[in-house]
Amino acid sequence: MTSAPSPKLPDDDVRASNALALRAVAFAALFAVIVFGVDRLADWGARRGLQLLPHVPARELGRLRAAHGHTAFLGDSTVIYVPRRGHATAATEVGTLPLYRLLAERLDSEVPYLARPARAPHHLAAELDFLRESGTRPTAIVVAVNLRSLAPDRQLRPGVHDGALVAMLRSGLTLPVRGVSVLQYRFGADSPDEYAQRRFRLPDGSSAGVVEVDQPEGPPDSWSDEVVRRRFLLRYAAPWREPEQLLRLVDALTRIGAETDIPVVVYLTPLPLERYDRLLTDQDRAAIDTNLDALRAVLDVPGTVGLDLSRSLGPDDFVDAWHTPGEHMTHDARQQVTDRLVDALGRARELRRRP
Amino acid sequence: MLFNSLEFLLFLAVVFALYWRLRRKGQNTLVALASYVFYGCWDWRFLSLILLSTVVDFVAAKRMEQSTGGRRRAWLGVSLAVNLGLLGVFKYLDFGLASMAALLQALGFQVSLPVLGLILPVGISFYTFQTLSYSIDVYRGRLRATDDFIAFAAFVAFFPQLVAGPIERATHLLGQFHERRRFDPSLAADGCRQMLWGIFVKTVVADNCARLVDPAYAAVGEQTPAALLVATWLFAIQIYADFSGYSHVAIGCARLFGFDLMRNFAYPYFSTSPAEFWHRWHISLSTWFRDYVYIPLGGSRVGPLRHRVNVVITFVVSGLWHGAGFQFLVWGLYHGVLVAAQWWRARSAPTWPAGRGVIPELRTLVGMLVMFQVASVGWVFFRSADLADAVTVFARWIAPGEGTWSLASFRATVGGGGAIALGAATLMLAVEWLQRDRPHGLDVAQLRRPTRWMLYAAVGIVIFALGRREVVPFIYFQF
Repeated sequence: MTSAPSPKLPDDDVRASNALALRAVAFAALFAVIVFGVDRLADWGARRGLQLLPHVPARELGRLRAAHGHTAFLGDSTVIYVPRRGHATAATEVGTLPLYRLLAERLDSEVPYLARPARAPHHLAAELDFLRESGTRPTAIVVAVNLRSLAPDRQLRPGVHDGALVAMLRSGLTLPVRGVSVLQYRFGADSPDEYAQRRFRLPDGSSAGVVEVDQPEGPPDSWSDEVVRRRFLLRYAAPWREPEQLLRLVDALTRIGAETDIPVVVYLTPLPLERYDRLLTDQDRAAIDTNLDALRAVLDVPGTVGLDLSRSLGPDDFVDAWHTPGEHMTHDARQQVTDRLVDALGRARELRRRP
Repeated sequence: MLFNSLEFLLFLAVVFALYWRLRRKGQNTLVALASYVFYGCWDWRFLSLILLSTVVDFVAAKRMEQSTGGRRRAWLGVSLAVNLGLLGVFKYLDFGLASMAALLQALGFQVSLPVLGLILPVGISFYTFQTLSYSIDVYRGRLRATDDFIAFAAFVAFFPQLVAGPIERATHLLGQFHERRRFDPSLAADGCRQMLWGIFVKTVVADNCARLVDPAYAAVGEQTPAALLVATWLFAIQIYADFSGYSHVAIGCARLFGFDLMRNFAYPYFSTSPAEFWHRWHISLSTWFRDYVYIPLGGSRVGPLRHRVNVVITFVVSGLWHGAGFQFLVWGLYHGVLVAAQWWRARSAPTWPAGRGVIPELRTLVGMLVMFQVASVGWVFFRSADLADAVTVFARWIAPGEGTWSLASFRATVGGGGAIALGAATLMLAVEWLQRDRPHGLDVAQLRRPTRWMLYAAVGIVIFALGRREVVPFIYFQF
């Protein structure tokens, strides 16, 4: 087929396409204003208990505001975990209470459901900043910091990264942040494909893919001790990707400590270190200690009480399957932690009463 | 680079800004380059396959035009061999080897055939069919081979419809690359509206349905019959919203560049018969199979029995085009038998489906509901991971056990995220019902600008508030 000779550049087309582009920009500007207005309206409703936006991120702000006048227990799944029927390793675990409910019983006050699975230090920092800046005043704040939450495979996992939440808490905007999330802006998280191809480095310098380490072939019961050890190391001993998250948490705690009189307890969650100790080399133990030493920075913030529970429990106090090292505790262990938290809260209140 | 991503919107803005400042050849070059960048974002390694398909068909068509008889047929054979070969290797080889091994083992032979585990290049089923139509049409003398390689490369890889159609014919689209495009503001504005509607049905309707469908179909043996029924209905909505959403964005996007792509969906769930359904569902593929499989088989110019056999064969091949698995074969067979059984009632789809009234006649309403159920039965095969899962779903419905059909179990299934999915699906169907004489749900050019803009803003707010944040790839990318 012969092609027609190229005509001159059609100025009409350029002008008309520019006009459409301008209209699109004008609409985008108007839309931004409308989105902002709807967002403020939803926020106004949320402050009065009216949930206008029926989705999780909008509820995140509401749930934090709900801590006003109660004990705010921020943390990850170790705070809210309770075995479901069929998942409990012992029949006696079924029907037991999660940590935040045990604490509520001991304090005889309300401890709202605020924790979320896989909360990392930057989430906790954003939540603390939001509480402080929004004028929400809990009677006390307990912050659970889990070493696992800084593991590189956890930090980049698309489902739990939740950078949108951090952006939302920091900006106070829900609808715009959610909107760009719908348009696949990932706030620094990997896409599922990128994540599947990531390779992480273990403490001995060896590189291991997530799939290789976390999802070995064959049924879990058949996995060797070496496979379990590598999974354990990826969780607790691997070099962190974003150590600056700890600084953000320290900064948020410092501000809470300095600018409010709220009693604050920060604790490192118990870890199953003793349970897997027989698999570890001296180099592995040193790598875990290095990470724990860095993590302890959050325990020394002025105006707060720090509690290191990382080595406080024994090998039988954890309920996760052997091949999936985890920090979820038995009911007895949760009660032990509750005792320590009640004691620490008493000290934190005492600290706040001092002139 | 998903259509419903900021990345794509930015890409589109840049290409649009450059495009109308160029002359025709420059525009074609830009489209070809942009399309390769777009595809390279998925997987740059498979760009070589598109290039191979493009070069082979370009050369084969030229040679066909210059030769006659056996040589002409030989060049067509080259085109068919390369394109179908690519499809065969990347899409069907593993399935063929696994099926062969299973068959031999059933016959008592102990064999172990290797499974290659090849990745299916995204869009391969679409662009190979598009280039094949060009070669076949040149062979048949319906089209002259093009001398313009850049225009042809842009036609093959045209980014709006590269990875999931509509599967265009060279007779319709290639000529547009040879002509000067004029910017039509009203068409381009309608293209934007169509894109917005496509993103709405994809992110709000399809993706929220997927939230319920995926877990249900991931473990069909553990679901109640009620949950499976709701999941199947929702999948019927999901796949329609997902694929029609993609097509809307593709068509709307092409309009921004002065191209007219063929319509791919014409409100199929308002059909009252299988034949009408297939006049309205995935029109570009249905007509492709009609022109290049059904008619060469003899079409309707043969005896009644052979005619029905032709229909069934066409649908079975169409089923296998969707995926390498027996469940797709059965899905195609199911629809083939349905269409063949009532072919005498077949008619081309009217512009205005199901009558003109806002409230349909009872007979029409019943017909639509029955057709929706008939299509849903087929979707069980389509959605199931394999044939065994599909059989499990039907077994759960036939022998459900006590109490599992109760309304409580329906509510338990639909509760939570189901409310958003059902609400969004109802909204989409209601809007499309009212707009069913128009190409898409947001075709509102007749309204005044302030009203239109408030409507767009409302759709945008709904997308922001209810669209899913997780990455849910378009279903047809896997084909």
